[in-house]
Amino acid sequence: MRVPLSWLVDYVDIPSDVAAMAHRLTLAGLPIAAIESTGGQFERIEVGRIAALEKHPNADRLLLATVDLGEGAMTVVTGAPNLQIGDHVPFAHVGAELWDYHANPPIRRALREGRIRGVTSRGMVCSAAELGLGDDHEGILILDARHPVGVPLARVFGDTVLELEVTPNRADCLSLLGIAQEVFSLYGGDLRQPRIDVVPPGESDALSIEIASLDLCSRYCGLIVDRVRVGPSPVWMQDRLAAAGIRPISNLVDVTNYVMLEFGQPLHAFDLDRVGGGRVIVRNARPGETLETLDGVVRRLQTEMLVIADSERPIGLAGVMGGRDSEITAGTTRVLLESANFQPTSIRRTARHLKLPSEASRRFERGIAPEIAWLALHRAAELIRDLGAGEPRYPAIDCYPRPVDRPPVRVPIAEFERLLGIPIATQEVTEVLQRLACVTVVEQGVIVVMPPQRRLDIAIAADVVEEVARIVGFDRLPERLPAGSLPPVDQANAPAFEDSLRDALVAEGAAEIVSYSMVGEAARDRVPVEPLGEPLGDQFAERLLPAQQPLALVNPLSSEMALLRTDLVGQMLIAIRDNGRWFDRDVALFEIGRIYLACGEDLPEERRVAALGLGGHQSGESLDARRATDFLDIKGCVEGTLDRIGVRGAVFAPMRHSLFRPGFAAAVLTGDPRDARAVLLGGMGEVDVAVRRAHGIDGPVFLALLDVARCQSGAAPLVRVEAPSRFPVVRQDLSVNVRRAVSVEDARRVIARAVRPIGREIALVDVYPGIDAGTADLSLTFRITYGADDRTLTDAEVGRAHRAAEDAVRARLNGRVRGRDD
Amino acid sequence: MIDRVCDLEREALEALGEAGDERSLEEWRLRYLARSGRLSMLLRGLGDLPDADRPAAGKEANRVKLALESAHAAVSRRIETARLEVATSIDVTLPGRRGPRGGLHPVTRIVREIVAVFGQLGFRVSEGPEVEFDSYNFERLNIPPDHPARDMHDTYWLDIPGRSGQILLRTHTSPNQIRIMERQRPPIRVVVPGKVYRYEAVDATHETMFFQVEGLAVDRGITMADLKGTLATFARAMFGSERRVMFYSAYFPFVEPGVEVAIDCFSCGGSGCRTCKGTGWIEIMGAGMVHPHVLRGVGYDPDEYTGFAFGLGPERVAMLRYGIPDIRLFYSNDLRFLRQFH
Repeated sequence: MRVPLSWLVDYVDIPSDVAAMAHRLTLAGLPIAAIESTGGQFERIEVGRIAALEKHPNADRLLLATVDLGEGAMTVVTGAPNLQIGDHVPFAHVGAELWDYHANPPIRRALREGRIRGVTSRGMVCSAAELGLGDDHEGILILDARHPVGVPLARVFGDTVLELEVTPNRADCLSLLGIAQEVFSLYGGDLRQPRIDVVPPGESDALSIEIASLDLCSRYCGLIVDRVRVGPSPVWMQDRLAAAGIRPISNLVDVTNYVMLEFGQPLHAFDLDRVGGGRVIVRNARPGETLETLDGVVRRLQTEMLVIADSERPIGLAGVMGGRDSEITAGTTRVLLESANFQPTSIRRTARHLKLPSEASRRFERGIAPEIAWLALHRAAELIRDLGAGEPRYPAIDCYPRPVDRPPVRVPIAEFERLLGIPIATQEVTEVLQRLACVTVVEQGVIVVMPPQRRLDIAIAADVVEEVARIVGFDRLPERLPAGSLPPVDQANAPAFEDSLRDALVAEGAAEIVSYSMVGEAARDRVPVEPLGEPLGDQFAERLLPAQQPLALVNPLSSEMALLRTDLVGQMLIAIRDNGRWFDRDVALFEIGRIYLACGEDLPEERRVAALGLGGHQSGESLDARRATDFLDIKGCVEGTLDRIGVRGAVFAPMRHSLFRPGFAAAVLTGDPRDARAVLLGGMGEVDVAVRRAHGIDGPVFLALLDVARCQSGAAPLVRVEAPSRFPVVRQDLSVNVRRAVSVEDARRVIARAVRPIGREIALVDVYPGIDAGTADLSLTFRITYGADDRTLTDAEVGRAHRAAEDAVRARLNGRVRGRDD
Repeated sequence: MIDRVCDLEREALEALGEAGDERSLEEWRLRYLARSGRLSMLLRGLGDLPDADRPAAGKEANRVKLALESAHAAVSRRIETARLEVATSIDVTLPGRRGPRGGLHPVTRIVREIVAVFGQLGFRVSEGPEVEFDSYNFERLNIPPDHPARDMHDTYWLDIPGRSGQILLRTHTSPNQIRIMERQRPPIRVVVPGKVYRYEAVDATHETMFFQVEGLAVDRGITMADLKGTLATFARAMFGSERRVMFYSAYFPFVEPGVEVAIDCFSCGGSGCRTCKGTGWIEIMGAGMVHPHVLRGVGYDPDEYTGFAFGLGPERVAMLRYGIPDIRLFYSNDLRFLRQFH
């Protein structure tokens, strides 16, 4: 809402410091987005009064005008024919910027001292054209005498306009009178309502009004205006409308807009001769009806839309836009002025459905008190009469079958302290409320408040408390902290676990990213989701890359953001690719986010997933060295992460999924995959060549996906810690040759079982492939650490255990012990 | 004789002080300590002394010899150490060998900070769904269908057959107020961080997806003064203990009274600059007393319980604090941006 202060001052005293007022209005809940000032171009120009006129001694067609400027007078030469003694005129001092019409084309230049036929002028009286206010450059611009002598012209033609961001609850502040009330409640002074002579309602021979849809229109007031003379409205009205952001159209339409800005009540003027049968029916649109609106568009109406109709057809879309047919034209002689109250949600739906938001619909949809319709109608009628635009035919018709009765709001005095934390004296409360135009009665500890008509937003006690708080200012309230007991603590909640997972991934060297939850069809197509029929891969797919139909947005911003993601893969690969432009190594990214899985008509499952991605190269040992990332890098990251979040004993098993390069993918499980109780936590591997190429990536990339909730379930809290043994340990290596089918993990487990209980740690220290094609094709060296908690082991003990390990390798792995069996 | 020995000692020690490298040290040794050096020459004269003087002079000469030898050894060590240092020292300006470089997303960092401050005030963390029912996102927050306040929330709707116009991407974290009050009885003190979505074109200051942190405290006897104290404590913890905090009237349909919380501009100190758009104040969050309709809607008696709620945007906090010019950077996943926070 644009609020020209030159207009607002008609209704309320305005403090001189406008910026301070804007700040105070903002604090009170009327945010001022901008303060706009106009009139800067009138610097060094002020209002003067013609005190004397004489003939120029040396020129017949020139005059010497003596201009009274309040503090002193100036005599200047002028050739203007229209000056009279007593006229108030703009007077420009030397240095003022004026339009020079002797130049072609005219240019704006600073006024200099001039000498015409022996007489020196230190300034000049100005025409409208010289001021840039019009085309007339023959006569001097004569100002309204109410502008006092000596006032800067900027105050006459310039203005300050407040840009007010009216919140949806404050329909009242979509009117100057409502805003004036706010200024008054903060600053006091004088509040001036326009005086309106309200004539009691009556009947008319020329017009009948009927409300057929009472639920959508509670009141309809109509008044006939005769002897209409359509023309432009006066300049002052046009200026005010323009300053408020509304385009002047014609005297009648301008009056309706003027009153709308004043009262917040939209009005409409119909050409009465186009209202068939002199009948106005407010009803729902009928099936198939259409209406050409003022903007020339033919609208197909729907039956829930409210229309103003004559005896045959719709002539206006109630509260949204008038019809083209009944529009005021130059030839209009009789007008029906409408001032009505329409149901807010109906107006809002219609305006939104037709994408036709208007000044009128904006006000109706926020709610207007029905009482205002009658006042606004009479205000408009008076303005029309005063402007000579037509003659109102009183009485007006008032169709208001069920007057609304708003009950007063009862506020216990204790409520102020209960909500605000400190008591507010009853005296002060009532004073504040009265300044807000509320009527208050105090009875037995309760303040009964009747809010002003336009404040439909004050309906319950809390509303009244807020009114008082915002006027006295929230500064008044103390700062405290809530007393009382605290709710119980839930240690194992999901956000805390997610945080530990984040920290774990960061510790592994990954940088956290956050991607949009929305993706496009094309991006989805680049990520393969088809399972290959291999049990682990299929489980992995089901948890982390489900092949299901994604949820779609009804109103996406673009086709790239039209679907809710069902995996984190595509965005991770794109992020790796993009960062590869800037970094040739150590691109390690992770994201913890949700995927959205449709659940019929229920809310979707929002499954939490962690994705980890590694680019093709890692920093090497020496300064410039980099080495290719391989499977063991991503596995190491996953192992480290699982350790840190408390998932112990995770098992990695070969897995096949079309996302990964065959033979370079693993499932992560809580136990042996052959054990039905083992739960799949996720999977990892090298991304399939075709998949990464589809994402524009040239070199290898590695990806891991983890099911966050399952990781949380699989994480065991640390319950028991053992003291380290004080006794020495013995380390012995065991090198074995086994077939490739034997996994390192199998071998390790067999050896571990054999060396129990004194084998404390079994570490793989060497892998050497392809030693002997005939019998075995893999050589593994394990370093076994032997030790006990209660004694130093004897050589014999260690030897027995080590031989048991060798036997197990032969018996259970069908392997050979190097150095003994070769 | 003794005097001459002492003079030689003084002279030799003085000369030794000037020996700065191995060559000059060797010259010094040859001059004073070597077999043909000055001290040896002097000692050769011992035999010419009378018997009575000889022991004392001999003793003194030996002392000087030992003193000079030990002084020589010390200087020699010093020179050797210096030489070795030059030869084998490390250039400490070489880049350190670093472990892997990971780090949290800036929004995560800010959210954690926010949650930690409220944690100290007794607030616990919770979370809720991003895909929501209209009823939780709007209706039960006192925003009925076709309410003009819906204009403040440009909404993404989901295309779910049979659920047209009922399921959406949450436009704020406030639905969690309802969800928490539904499953819990007072006292409630909770903060809920999470993603929210607006159907809005993206530019430097508007994202279509961003984060919010919602807060809620409900109990008997909670007042606006508690709201002020809690949020002022928070604002000062986040933006500096010297910050002034201002509360002013604002409209959010699910609170009454509603306020906007602002701090004096830390960039200009309140005189007006670009950061605060010339106002001297920076809005950091919205808040208010939970609306009686909202309380009643979850089965709480608004005459018994009161509460306050608040919400803020971590991106905005980060942008203000770190001077981030463009909100789109947060979700660009660009390591050049992200690593500055690591």
